[in-house]
Amino acid sequence: MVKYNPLWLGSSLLATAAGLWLVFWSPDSIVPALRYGLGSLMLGLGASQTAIQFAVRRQTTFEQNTSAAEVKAWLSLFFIAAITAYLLAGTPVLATGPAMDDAARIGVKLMAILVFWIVIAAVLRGRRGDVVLEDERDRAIDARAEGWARGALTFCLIGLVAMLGLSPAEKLLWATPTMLAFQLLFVLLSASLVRNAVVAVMYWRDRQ
Amino acid sequence: MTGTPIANEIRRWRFERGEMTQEALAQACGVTRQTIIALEAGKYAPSLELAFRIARAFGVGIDEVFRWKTE
Repeated sequence: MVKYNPLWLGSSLLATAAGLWLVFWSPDSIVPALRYGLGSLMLGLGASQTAIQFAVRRQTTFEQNTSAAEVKAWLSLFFIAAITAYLLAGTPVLATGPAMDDAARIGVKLMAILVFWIVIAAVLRGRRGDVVLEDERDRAIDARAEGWARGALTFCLIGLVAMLGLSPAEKLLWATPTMLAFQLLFVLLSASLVRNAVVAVMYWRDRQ
Repeated sequence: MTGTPIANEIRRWRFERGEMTQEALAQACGVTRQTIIALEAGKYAPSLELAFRIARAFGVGIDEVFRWKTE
């Protein structure tokens, strides 16, 4: 039986952070074997050990007072913001139509973020044990946030349509098919960001 | 979810039922503990079904647990 060890959790978190840095943000001068080989290994081992340690750790007062849906909303907000920021940072590469290598690199990193998100969400959900995770209040909050997300989606889409329709052709040279595809993806991500932000803020306000 | 016209006596009834915990009441009603906290703080108005479930958990009528604030 695995026991909670704060020292082991700290080391696992450090390994995860170092792995994340190596894979996602380390400079190109570092050799690929170190970046992707050692980086992926540290990320994988660190994340799995962190997950195990979090799974066996006792619930904190914060966790007891926070609903599963609120935790899910904060987590989604964080990861969707990270994905959006990562895509925005890669816009110069995307603008020229990504080469196969660039596209593969972006795809692998996005996949790693998604896996990381799924693992953390599953661990935090598992820590709650066999209790009700969602009820009518959660669904009511979700329905209100859904309305905000629909509004944001409509607003961004109309903005995009107006910009494309009303701009002179010489100012739309950037609008390659790839860039337009990513603009639409950003619209979807914005709506999702708004939805999760509204959910998180509503829960937070209720706790005050 | 703030500002509801419905007041409740959930906290009082919990104590009158042998200091029933929020967790126990939540389990009895099939909701999360956070919903019971929001109800007690007057930040959420329950559905009719949940109001009946809560009243049944205390073994009293619905009007003994919930009332309009103006009354």
